[in-house]
Amino acid sequence: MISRIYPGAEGYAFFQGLSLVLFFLVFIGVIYMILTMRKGYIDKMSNMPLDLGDDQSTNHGGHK
Amino acid sequence: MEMEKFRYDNQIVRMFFWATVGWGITAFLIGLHIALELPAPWWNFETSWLTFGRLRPLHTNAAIFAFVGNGIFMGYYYAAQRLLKARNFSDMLGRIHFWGWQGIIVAAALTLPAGITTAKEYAELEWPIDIAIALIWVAWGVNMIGTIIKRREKHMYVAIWFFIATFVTVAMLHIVNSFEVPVSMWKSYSLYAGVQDALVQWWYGHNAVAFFLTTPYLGLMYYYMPKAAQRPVYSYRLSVIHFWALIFLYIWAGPHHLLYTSTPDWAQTLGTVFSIMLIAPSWGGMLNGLLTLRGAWDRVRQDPILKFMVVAVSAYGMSTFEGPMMSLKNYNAISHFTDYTIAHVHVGTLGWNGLLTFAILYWLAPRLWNTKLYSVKLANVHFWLATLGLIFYVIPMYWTGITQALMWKQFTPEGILVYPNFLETVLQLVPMYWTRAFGGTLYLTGSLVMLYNLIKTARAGDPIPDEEMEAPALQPIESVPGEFKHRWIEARPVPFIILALVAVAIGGIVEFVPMFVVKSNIPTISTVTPYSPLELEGRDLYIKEGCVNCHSQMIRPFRSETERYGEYSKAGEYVYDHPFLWGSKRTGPDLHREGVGKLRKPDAWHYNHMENPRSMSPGSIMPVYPWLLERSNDYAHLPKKISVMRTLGVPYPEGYEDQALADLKTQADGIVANLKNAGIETTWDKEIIAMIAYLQKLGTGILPK
Repeated sequence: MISRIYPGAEGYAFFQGLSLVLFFLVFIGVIYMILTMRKGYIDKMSNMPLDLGDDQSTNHGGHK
Repeated sequence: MEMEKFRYDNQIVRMFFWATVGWGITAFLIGLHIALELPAPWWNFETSWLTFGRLRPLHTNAAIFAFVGNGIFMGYYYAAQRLLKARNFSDMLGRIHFWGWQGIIVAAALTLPAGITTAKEYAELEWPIDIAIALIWVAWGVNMIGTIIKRREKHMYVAIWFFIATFVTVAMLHIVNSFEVPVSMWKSYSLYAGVQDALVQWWYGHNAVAFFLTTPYLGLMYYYMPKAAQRPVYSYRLSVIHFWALIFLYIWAGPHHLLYTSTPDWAQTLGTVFSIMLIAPSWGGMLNGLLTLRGAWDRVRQDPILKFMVVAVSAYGMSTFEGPMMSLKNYNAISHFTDYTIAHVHVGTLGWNGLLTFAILYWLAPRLWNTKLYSVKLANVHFWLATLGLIFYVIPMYWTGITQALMWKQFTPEGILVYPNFLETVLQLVPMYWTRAFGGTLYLTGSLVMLYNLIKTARAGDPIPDEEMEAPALQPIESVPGEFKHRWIEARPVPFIILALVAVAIGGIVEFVPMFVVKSNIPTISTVTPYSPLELEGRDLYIKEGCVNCHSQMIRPFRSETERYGEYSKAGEYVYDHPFLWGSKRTGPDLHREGVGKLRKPDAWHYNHMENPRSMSPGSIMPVYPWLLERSNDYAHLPKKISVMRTLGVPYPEGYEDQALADLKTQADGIVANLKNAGIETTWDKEIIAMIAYLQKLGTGILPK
């Protein structure tokens, strides 16, 4: 079947099949991890650039 | 909890800030210059180092590595210190990084116009500069990893992941693609040949787009868009999927630059499949960026920074949808080798990279000089000039690309090419080339307005060299039994770097191993012979003059191409090509069968054509090359070239170095005699003789002259 998806891949279809399997394993693993993330942690990380309080005061209203 | 005091280094940000502005304007200026050379070939003033072939690589290198490169480092040095709550690991490494990078850019500006090039797109710089790039890149990486290790913030924000992926992947790409054997201080031959060289080059070339123009800018987007919008990133969960899916998938997509070429079909299909899959993470990232503006859309009307960001992210979305479409074979059959690709890459570079860089510059300037932006009105003027410039650039180029493809492929009902003379298809494009130059002028003008605005802003304020901050020290990171969550990785930089490297290495390994190991991928052809010494020298001149920037050497298996050029190109014809010279754009016709069949021309035709292309092809937009007729070639390196080629597997006999010059002179004398019969007096050592020998060799591997 793999050789039908990848024409001319006889003999080394294994590599391509393996890569697709690897991708979906990684993808499913990442999906599992983000679904089990705590909301508090997500909120903290989402707000990280805004929590620094170091460069919010300068406005860019302009002189002109 | 004990608080630690520390200072942010703003000076390094300011240094990269001005470098970004200066090199950006330089890149746009060179781009405009070469854009004018197409409709007005006299615009090079008959100066060798001003020709399109030599300056096009300078333009692309300036745009990618000088403008965008300095933009990456500017954005990184500001954002990373704050996200990690730490001063840079080493001020000294930061300065080495800055001055080293500028030195590399200057070296590129000196060598590329001089014709010192490897001819591999976006990797044209010769081996001493390649080594310098690797060292300076590592200096940045060490500084980054050192800063991450001494951070005070436990978890690494998503922007930092993208910077890490950029560092490890670009290092890998640059090193693998730059394997070459030096002939002299400024000349080398690629380790790889033909199809293998093409696969490695486009694995690199595509991922230069991915990991130099995309991932670091996504890192910047994830930091500066929330800052400018004053809203948290829309979905942190989405950013996790976006990151891992994007870096895993991107690396595979390189072969989509080689569709319908002599590359094995399985590699082309892999490139297409993974390119289509790339739409998902790319658009996930784009939507995450745009939706970060939820609740802030009212401010987009007034704030030029948000305007730049919205159009930049929209351009990212457009180009990352269009890219996969261009990876479909039926779409690619039309877009490839035409100006359609030029339009596509400029949506990405001028739109995504350019506009996001401008937004960051405007956002940073008041903060780096502790003042207000000098003029919001001028920033708005810049926004419209840049946006209109982009539109006036890309629409004519899309039009041009489709016009080219349709004219190349049009047959009469009797089955004869409607436009058999390639020049007919070129002349149709000239009005669009002028319009493109108008778009470029608008974009350049906008950047000059920005320069004025930023200088006035800097003069109105005071630079803040070191910004004092305090934060609690990083607490020891403890593993929770049974925990394997993403936040575990986000707190551990070393495993993160290793995982990122594994994710990006898989694609390359799976594509390269079969290509290099399985011999049937590149069937050998017994009639294909190595280049003679004179042809080899002519090939080096072809590389030096940048002919590959306008002429392909890859006839695709379409009837429209075999009718026009002859037999389609075979993988086995390129086995002695270090480097490959397939090209990516046909401003002029393909030359792979230039020496055979109906395309073969007398030596005198090439001589006259190089002296003045319009004498042989009235209306041609090719530049003149009178210096080829005047300059004597230096053959001092010929024995070393033969020796290096043999090292690379080209079957020159042992000791042929001693015989090569005599053989060269014999072949050159033959061409001189042919020219004399046509009334042209010249000598055997002139550059034009070697160039003619090379052009007459093309296609003779499988077909009679």
